[in-house]
Amino acid sequence: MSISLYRKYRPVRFEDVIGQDHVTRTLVNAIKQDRVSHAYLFAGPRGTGKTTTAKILAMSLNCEAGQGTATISPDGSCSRCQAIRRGQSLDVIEIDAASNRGIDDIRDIRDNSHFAPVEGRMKVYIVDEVHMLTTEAFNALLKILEEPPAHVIFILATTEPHKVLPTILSRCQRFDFRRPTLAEVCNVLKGVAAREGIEVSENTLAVIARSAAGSFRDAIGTLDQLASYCESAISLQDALALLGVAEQDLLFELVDIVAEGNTKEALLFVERLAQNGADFNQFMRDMLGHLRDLYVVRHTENAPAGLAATQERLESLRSQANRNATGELVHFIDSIGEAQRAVRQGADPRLELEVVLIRLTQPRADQSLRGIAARLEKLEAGGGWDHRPPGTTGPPVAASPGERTGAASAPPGEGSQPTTERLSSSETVKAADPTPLPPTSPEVEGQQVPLTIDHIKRAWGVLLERIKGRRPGLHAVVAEGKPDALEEGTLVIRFPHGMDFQAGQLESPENALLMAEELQALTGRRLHVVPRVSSAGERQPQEEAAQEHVRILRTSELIEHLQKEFGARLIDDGTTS
Amino acid sequence: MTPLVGAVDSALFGNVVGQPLALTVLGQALQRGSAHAYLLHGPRGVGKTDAAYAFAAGLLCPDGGCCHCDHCRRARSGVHVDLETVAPDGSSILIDQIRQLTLDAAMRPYEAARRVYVILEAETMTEPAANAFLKTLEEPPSHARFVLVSSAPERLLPTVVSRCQRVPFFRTPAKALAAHLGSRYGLRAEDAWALARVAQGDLSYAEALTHSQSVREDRVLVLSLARELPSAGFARVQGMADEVMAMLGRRVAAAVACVEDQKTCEMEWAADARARSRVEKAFDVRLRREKRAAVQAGIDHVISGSAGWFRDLAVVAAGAEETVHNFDYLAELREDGLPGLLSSYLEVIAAAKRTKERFRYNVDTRCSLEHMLFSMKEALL
Repeated sequence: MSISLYRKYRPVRFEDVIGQDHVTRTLVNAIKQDRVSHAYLFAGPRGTGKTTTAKILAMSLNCEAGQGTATISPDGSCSRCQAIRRGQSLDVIEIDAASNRGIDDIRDIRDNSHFAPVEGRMKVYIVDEVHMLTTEAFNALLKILEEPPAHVIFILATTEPHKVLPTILSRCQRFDFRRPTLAEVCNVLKGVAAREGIEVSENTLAVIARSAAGSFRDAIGTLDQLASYCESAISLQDALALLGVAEQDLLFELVDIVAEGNTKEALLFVERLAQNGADFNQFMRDMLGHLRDLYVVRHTENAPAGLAATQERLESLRSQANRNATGELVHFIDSIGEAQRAVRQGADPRLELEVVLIRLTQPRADQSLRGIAARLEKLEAGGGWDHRPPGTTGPPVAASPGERTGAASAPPGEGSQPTTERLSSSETVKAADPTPLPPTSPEVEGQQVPLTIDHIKRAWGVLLERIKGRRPGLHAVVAEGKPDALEEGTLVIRFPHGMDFQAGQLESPENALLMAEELQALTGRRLHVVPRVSSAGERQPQEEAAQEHVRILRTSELIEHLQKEFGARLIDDGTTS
Repeated sequence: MTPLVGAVDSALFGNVVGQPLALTVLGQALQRGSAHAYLLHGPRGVGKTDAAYAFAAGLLCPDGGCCHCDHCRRARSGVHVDLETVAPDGSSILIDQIRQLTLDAAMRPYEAARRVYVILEAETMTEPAANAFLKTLEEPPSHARFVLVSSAPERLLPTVVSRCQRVPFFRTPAKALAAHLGSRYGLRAEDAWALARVAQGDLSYAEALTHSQSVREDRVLVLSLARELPSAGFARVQGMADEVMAMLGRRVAAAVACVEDQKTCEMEWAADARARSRVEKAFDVRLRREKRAAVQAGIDHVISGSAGWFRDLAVVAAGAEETVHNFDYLAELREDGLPGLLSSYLEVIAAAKRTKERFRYNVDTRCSLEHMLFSMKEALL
C-alpha cells in the first residue's frame, strides 16, 4: 500500500510549516528561552497544520538531539521522534476527543498525567478535535489544565474554537492558524510534485490549490488522486474533470446570456451542461466565485493578486464586469445563494438553477424586492425607460416575451450593445413623458438633479435613524418636527405649537452641525437647518402630515414610474388616513 | 482523459452505466494501489452503491477484482467477512456505530489482505459520529479501507470530505442511459431515448419505469393531475387529493407486502418462542420505517412530478422545447404552455418547493397535499 501523500509529506520541522510564521516563531522563541507554556490551543480551519505543529512541538520537547533540553530543530529520525510520528510514543499521547468525549476519558488523563514520562523529557497530551468534548468533560479538564505537573504539556487542537468553553480558552495560549494563500499552497504542491516526480503545469497546480480553498491536506490529497488517475503527466483537462470545476468559458458564457436576457439560450445552456454530466452544485459554487470576481474587478482599479491566473483572464473579467451593473451582479449572487440554500434543503439543483435563470432573464417574472432593485439600477444606469401606454401595462403575467421591448429587458441578441439600444428607446418616448425619475441614491442626487422638499420628506425616516445612531437625545427632539420647506439651501423644520424647547435645541451649534452633516451624507448638499414653531392657530402638523403623506405618494414621480414599470397599485393600508 | 478501465474492471463494474470518470478513478486505484478512504458522491440512483461494492470486491480479491472468485462474489453481494457495511440506523448513523467501526478497524482481516468498510448514506452521520470518525479516517491501520457513499456530500463535515479521495458520479448521460436500456431490456431506440429523458439520468428510476407497471401508472397519474389542475374546480381538487392518497396507500401496501414476505422467511428459521419474539420485534420496527419511507417516497414523487410538469410548461413557454423532460408529453405541453404565464409557472414550482419543505416537519399528509394543490392553482390565476 502506498501511504497517502498528505501523510507522507507531513512537515517534521518548524521551518517546514508553511504560512503559519506567527505560530512557529512564537513557539521557537518559547523553546529557546525555555518558556514553553503548559497549555496551548491551536485553532484554525481544516488542513492548515494544527496537528502537525502539535507533533513537531512534542518532538522538539522530547528529541534526543536536545540532550536533555528542548531543541528548536528536532531531527525527526531518532527513535523518540519516529515513535511520535507514528503515534506510538508512550509520552506523547494523541487523544481523539471526538470519540473519547466523556468525563471518564478526561478522568483517565487526569489520573495518568501524574506519572513521570517513560523515556522522554515531557509528557505531551495532544487533544485533537477538542470542541467535541462534553461540558462535563471540559470542566473535569479545567483543574489539570490550569496547574498540570511540571512534566506535562497539553496541546488542544480544534477547527471550531467557539465551541470550547471560555474557562478552557483562558487557561491556554491560543494560536490561530490562518488559511495559507494561493501562492503558498501552490509552492507546497510544487515541492511535493517535484519530489514525487509528478509532471504538472503551474496552471493545473493553481486550479488544484484554488479548489482546496486554503487547506494543504485537500490540496495534496487532490494531487495524490490526480497522480494515480493520470498515467504520467497531469493535464489541466484531467484536473478540471476530476474536480468537477466548470470551465471558465462556460461561466463567462452564462453571464453574457443572462445579461442579454435570453431565456431560451439559458435553458439550452443548462441542457448542454446536463448532457456533459455537470454537477450543478459545483457549477453554482463556481458561478458564485466567478460573479464575486466580476464584482471585485468592477470595484478595484488594480485587481488583487491571485484573483486571475493570467492577464488574459483579467482582461475578459474586466470587460464582462463593465457590461454588468453592480446591482445585477448582486441580484445574480443572491439568487444563486438562495438556490443553493434550497438545494441543501433537498431541492433538485438543476430545477433550482433553471428557475433562477428564468427569473433573471425574464425580469417581469421576478417579483422579489432584490429583483426590482436590480431593475431600477439598470434603468438608472441606462437612463432610459420602458414607456408603454398605460393600457398595455397590465399585471406582468399578461406580458408575453415577444412584446417585451425597450430598456427594461433588452431583446435577445442585442445585449452586446445595450447602451445604444436603451438610449434610442428613451429618446423616442421622451416627448410622451418628460419627467425624469427622482433619483434614489445619494451619489446621483449630488450631481445634477435639483433637490426638493419631497426628497427630504422621503429621506426623513432614514435621517432620523442615522441621527438616532449618533445622538439619541437629538433624535428625540427632531422626531417631533417635520420637514416643511426647502428654500435656497435652507431646510425649515416645523414643530407643533408649544414645542419651543425642541426648536431651541436644534439651534445649538453642535446639534445644527450634526444635522447638517447627516443631511449632507444623505443628499449630498450642504443644508442650513432652521427650526420653526407653529403658532396656536395653525393646523397641527400631525394632521397635515397624514394628508401630506398621501400627497407625496400621489404626486411623486417615483410612484408614477413604479406604476408604469411594475404595474404597481397604490394601496391604502390604513395608516396614512 | 484516457479511460483505462481494463477488461477485468469493466466486468467488475458491469452494473454501473455511463460513469467513465468514476470508473477510471476506481480502476486506477485497484491497479496502482489504493488510498485509504474514498468518497463516492453524486446524485441518487446512478449506481454509487453498486460501484462501492464492486470496488470493495476489487480490494478484497487477491487478483484485484477478477469477478469470478469466491471473494468477488461474496463481496459484491455484501456478505464477505472482511467487508463491513455501515448504514443509517433509523434516520442517521450514530456515534456508537462509528465507535464500533473504529474498534473493528483495529483488528486484522480474517481472509483477505484488507478490511473494507462501506459507509452508505454517509451524510446521515450525526455530528458527534462524524467527529468521532475523523481520527480513524485520517490515519487508519494499514489494512483498513473506507468507502463512503453519499448523495449529499455538501451535508458532510468538510473535515471528513478533506480526508477522502473524491470519486464523482454524475447523472447518467441520456445517450448512455438509452443505450443501456436498449441493450438490457431490448427497448426500441426511440422508446429508450424518451425514457432516458424522462428519467433525467436517474438510472434506477429509468429501470423501474421499464419493468414496473405501477411506477409507470404513478407517473401518468401525477402528470395527468398536474395537467388537469388549472381547470379543476374545488370538488375536483378534493378528488385529486383522494387519488393521490390512494396512490400513497398502494405504495405502502406494496412495501408492507415485501416486508411481510421477508418476515415469513425469517420466521421459518426462528427455532423457539424467544427467537420468534425477537424477529417479531425487529420486523415491527422495520415495518414502521418502511411504511414511512414509502409514504415519503410517494410524496416526493408527487411533488417533484408536478413541479417537473410546470417546469416543462415554463420551458416550452420560454421557447426551449429541446430541454423538456417529459418528452412523451410534448404535444400536450405545447398545447398548454402559454408564454404569458411564465412567472405563474415559477410560482407553482415555488409552491411545490414550499410543500416539500413543509413535509420535513411531520405535517398531516392529506392536508399538506391539498394545500399544495390549492396554492398551485392560486399561483396560476
